[in-house]
Amino acid sequence: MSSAGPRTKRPCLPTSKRVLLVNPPVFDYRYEWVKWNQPLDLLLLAGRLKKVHGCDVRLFDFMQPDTNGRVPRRPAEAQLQDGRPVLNRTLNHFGKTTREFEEFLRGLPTHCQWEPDEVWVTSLTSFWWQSIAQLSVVIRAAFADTKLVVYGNYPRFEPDHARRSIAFADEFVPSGELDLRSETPAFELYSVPPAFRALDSNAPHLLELLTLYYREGVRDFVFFNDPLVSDDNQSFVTVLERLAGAGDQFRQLRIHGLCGLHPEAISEDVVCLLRRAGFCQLHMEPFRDGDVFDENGYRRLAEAVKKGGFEGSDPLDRGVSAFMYIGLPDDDLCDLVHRALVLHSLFGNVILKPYSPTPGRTHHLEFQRGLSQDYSPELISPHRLPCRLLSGVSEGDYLELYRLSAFLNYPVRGHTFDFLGQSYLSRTIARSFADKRWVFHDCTS
Amino acid sequence: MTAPVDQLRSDESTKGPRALLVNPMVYDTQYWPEWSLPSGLLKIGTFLRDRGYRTRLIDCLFTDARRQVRKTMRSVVELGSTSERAYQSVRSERRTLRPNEKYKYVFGQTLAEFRDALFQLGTVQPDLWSSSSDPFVPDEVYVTSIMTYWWESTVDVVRVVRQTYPSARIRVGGIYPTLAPEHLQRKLSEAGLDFELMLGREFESTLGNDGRDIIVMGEVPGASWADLDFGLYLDPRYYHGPGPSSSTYETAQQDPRNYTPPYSILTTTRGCPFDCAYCAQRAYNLGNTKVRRRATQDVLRELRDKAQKYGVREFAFYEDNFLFFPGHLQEILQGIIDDPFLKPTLQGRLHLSAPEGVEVRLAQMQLETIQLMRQAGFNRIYLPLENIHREVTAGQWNRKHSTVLHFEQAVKNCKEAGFSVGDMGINAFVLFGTPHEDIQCVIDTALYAADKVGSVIPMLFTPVPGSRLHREYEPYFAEMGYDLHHLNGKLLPMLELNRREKPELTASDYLELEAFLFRLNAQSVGGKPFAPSGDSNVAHAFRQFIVQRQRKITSLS
Repeated sequence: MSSAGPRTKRPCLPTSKRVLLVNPPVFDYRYEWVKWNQPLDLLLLAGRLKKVHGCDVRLFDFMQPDTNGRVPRRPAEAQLQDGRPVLNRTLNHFGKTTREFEEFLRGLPTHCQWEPDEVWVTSLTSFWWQSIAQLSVVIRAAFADTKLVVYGNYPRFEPDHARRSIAFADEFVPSGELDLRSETPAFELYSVPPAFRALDSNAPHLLELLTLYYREGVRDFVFFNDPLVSDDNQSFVTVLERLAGAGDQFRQLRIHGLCGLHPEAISEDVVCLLRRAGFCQLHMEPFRDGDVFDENGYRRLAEAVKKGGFEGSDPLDRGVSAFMYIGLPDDDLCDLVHRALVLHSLFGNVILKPYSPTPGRTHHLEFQRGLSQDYSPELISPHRLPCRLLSGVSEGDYLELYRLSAFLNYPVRGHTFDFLGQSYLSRTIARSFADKRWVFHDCTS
Repeated sequence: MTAPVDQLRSDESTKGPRALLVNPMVYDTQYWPEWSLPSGLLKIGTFLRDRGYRTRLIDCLFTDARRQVRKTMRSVVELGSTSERAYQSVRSERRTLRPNEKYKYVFGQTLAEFRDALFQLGTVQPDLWSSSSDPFVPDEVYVTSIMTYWWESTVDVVRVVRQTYPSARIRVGGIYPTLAPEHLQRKLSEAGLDFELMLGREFESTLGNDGRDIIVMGEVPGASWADLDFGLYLDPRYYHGPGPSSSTYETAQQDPRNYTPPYSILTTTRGCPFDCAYCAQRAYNLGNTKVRRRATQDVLRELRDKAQKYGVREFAFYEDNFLFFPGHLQEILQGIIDDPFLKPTLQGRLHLSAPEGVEVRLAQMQLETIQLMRQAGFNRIYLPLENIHREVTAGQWNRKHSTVLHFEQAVKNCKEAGFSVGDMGINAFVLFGTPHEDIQCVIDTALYAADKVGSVIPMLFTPVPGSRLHREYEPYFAEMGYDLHHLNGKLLPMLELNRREKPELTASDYLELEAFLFRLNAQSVGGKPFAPSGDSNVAHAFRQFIVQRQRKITSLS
C-alpha cells in the first residue's frame, strides 16, 4: 500500500475557528445501501473540534435523506458520462445537487452572518473523487480565502492523484491520521436528526453512546468496522454482552450487521450473542481465502447462524444473507454460479459484492498495466467491475449474474426458494432442467 | 340547498319504483380490486333507469383513492380441506400460521357496515344535502353475485336486506346464481328465505309486477348491451376527491370524476363456440354457443360518454371471445383512433386492457388487429398458454383448438406489433392445481413461457359449477364434504385427489410452485429478468449445476 504522501507531520486541527464539514455527493453507477451513508468520521471530528478546540462547526451532508426518507438519485452530468455504459448502467449522482450546496454557501454570510475559516470535505472512497473535485471549485468560488481540507480515504489511497486533481485544496488529511475514537459524534449538527446512528465499535464509551441515543428514541444502529467481531475487539464483545444482559432496557434496539462479519469469527455462541444484543440482520462476509470455495465451512456457518436464530430475508427480523465477490481477476463463470446457488441454498439470500482492487496492491497494478487509457481512480469503482478484463468473464455474463441473484433473492410470502433443496418441487424442477422438457417439439398433428 | 351532484342526476324519474342495487363484500384469502367493477349490476342500473325506476347503489367493494379495498380478519382456512376456524379462536392460540393455512378476510364493507348503510338509506339524514337525504326505502333490491365460491357473502347480504326491508322484493343475479341456482336457493332457504328461480328473459317480461323474491338465471336481454350506469356513483358516499380542508373542495364536489371509478369495463361479445373442460362459459350462456356482439357504434358511444362525462381513461375489455368475428375488434379500435372526439382527447392517453386474455388461435392469425390494439392504447397483452403438453390440453381439457404453435405465432405477432418482452408487455397464463396434475408439466410450461415472453401469470384452477371438470369430479367433492366455497382455487381443492397419485405432494409444494411462477417475473435488471430456461452462459451453468447436484443426492432418470 502506498504511503500517505510526502507530508509527514500530524494535521493541525483549527482552534476557535468556524469550520464547515461537508459529506459530498456520490457519483457512481450503483449504490445499494445508500440509505446507510452517514459521515461518522466528520461527526467525530466535529465532536473534537467543538469540545476540545472550541470551534463553531456546521455540517452540510449531501447524502442526508429527503423528507420521504430517500436519498435523491439522478443521472450525473453529461460531461462525466464517458459514453460507455457499464452493465447497461449510466453514471448517477446520488445526493443533493450542487445548486443546493451553492445556495447553502451563499446563505451562510447573507442569512447567518457566518463564513467558514476552514472547510473539510470527507471521502469514503478514492473512486468517488470527482464530486470532491467539483465541490472544491464551488467552495473556492464562494470563499476565496477559506482553507480547504480534503479528508478521508481519497488522500489516503491516492495522495498523488488528489494533489494533482484538487487544485484548490490546501491540505490533505488521510483517514487514520486522527484518532477520534474517544469523541462523541456531533449528531446535533443535523437540523433533522438522522433516523439511525452509525457508531465506531472501538469507541471506549460505546455503551454510553448507545444508551444515550436509545433514550433519545433512536432504535437503529450500524457499525462499519471491519472486522466487527474478532479476538482483537473484546471491548465490543463486552458491550454486546452488556446489551444482551440488559433485559427489557434495550428491547427495541435494532443493530444492522451490514458488514465486517467474517465467518472465521462466527460461531453459534457468537450468533446467539448478536441476536440477544439486538442484531436484526446479518450479512456474512466471504471466507478470507476465497480461492477455494469451502462449502463445508459455509455449511457449518449456516448451521451456526440458523441455530443462533437468524433465518429468512426480513431485514428487521433476523434476516441473513451471504456476500459473494464477483469481478475478481480469476473469476470463473461456472464457479460463480455454483457459489451463488450454494450460498443461496445455505443462507436464503446471496448478495453479489463487486470487487475493487486496493490502490498499491497487486491487482491494482495489474489493472493499471492492462489499461489502454490513463489511469484515474473512478475507473476502479467496483460497479465498473474493473478486473473483468483480467478474468475474461464478459460484461454480459456479469449482468446476467446480477439477474440471477435478483431471481434467487426474490421473496414470495417472505421466503426465497431453495433450488438445491430436497422438496418435491425442487427435484421436479431439476428433472425439467435435466431433460430440457420446455423445449417445444411440434407434435400437434 | 341542492346537492352538487344531484344536478347530474336531474334526469331521474321522481315517481317510479325504487330499486336498490347491491354489490356484496367478498370473503376470500386474496382479492384483487383491479378491474373488479360490478359491470353486470351497473348494466341492470341502466336497464331499470330506462324503465322509470329510481335507483341507488351500495357497492361494498368500492375502492379508495389508491384503488385499494379494506380487509378485516374473518377466519383461518386449511388448504385442501373443509377446515375453517374463526380468527378469534386461532388468535387466542398465539401461534403463527402453519404452511397449509391461510387467513380468510372480509374484503370491503363488513356486514355490520352494510347494515348501517342500508338503514341510513331509508332514514332522513339532516346532515347531508337536502335532496340526497330523502329517505330511499327500496321497493326492489338487486343483489349481484359473481364467483360461486363467494356465495356466503351473497346469502349474508340477502339476509340482512330482508331483515332491514321486509317488504322489498329481492332479485339475485349474476354468474353464481346462473351457474348454481339450486345451490343458492337451498342456502337461502336454510336462512329462512324463500326464492323462486326464473330465467332472465322471463324476468324482463314480468318486471315490476312480480311480488316474489327471485333468483335470476342468465342474461336479462334488455340489459345485455346496456351501458354501465356510472350515475349510480354520484352519491356522497363515493366521493373520493380533495377533503374539506382543501381549497378546491367546493369545486371538486361538483366534479363527477371525484365520485366515479377511474376505469370502466366493456363487454362487446358474448358466447364462445369452444368448450374447454375448465371453463363454465357455456353454462353461463345457458348452453348458447352462438357468439353475439354489440354494435360498434354503441361501444364507441359508451367509450365517449365515459371519457367525456366521467373522465375515464382506462377501459378493460371483458370478453368471451372478442377476436371471433373478423373485423369486430378492428372496427372498434379503428373507431377509437379515428373518432373526431376521441382522437384529440384520448389518443396516446387511453389505456386499454383485456385482462382475461386473447385467444391465441385467433391472435396468431390477426396481426393487423394486434397492431391496432397497440396503436389504440393496449400496453399489455395476455395470452392463454395454460400448458404446453398436448396430452393435457387436448387430452384432459378439451382444448383442441389451441396449440403451442398458435401461441408462438401469436407471440410473434405481438412482438411485431410492438408489445415488449420481459417487462410484462406480453404475458402467458399458466393453469395449475388441476385434477391428476403432473407438476412436471406445469414447470415445463412455466419455463417455456419465461423463455418466450418473460412473464408468467399463474392461474389456480377452480372447478366451476357448470364446467365439464366440475361435473366429472362431483363425486370427489361430495366425498370431501366440499361446499362451493371450498372449491376456491386458492384453497387447492384438488390437492387430496392429486396426493392419492403422488403421496409426497404437500400444500407447501403447491404454494412453492405458485411462488416459483411468480419468481419467473422477478425484477428486471438491465431491462430483463433472469430466464432459467434461457440460452445465456449463466442459465446453462445454473441448470447444469442444479442437475448435477440433484443427481448426486437422488437418482434421476
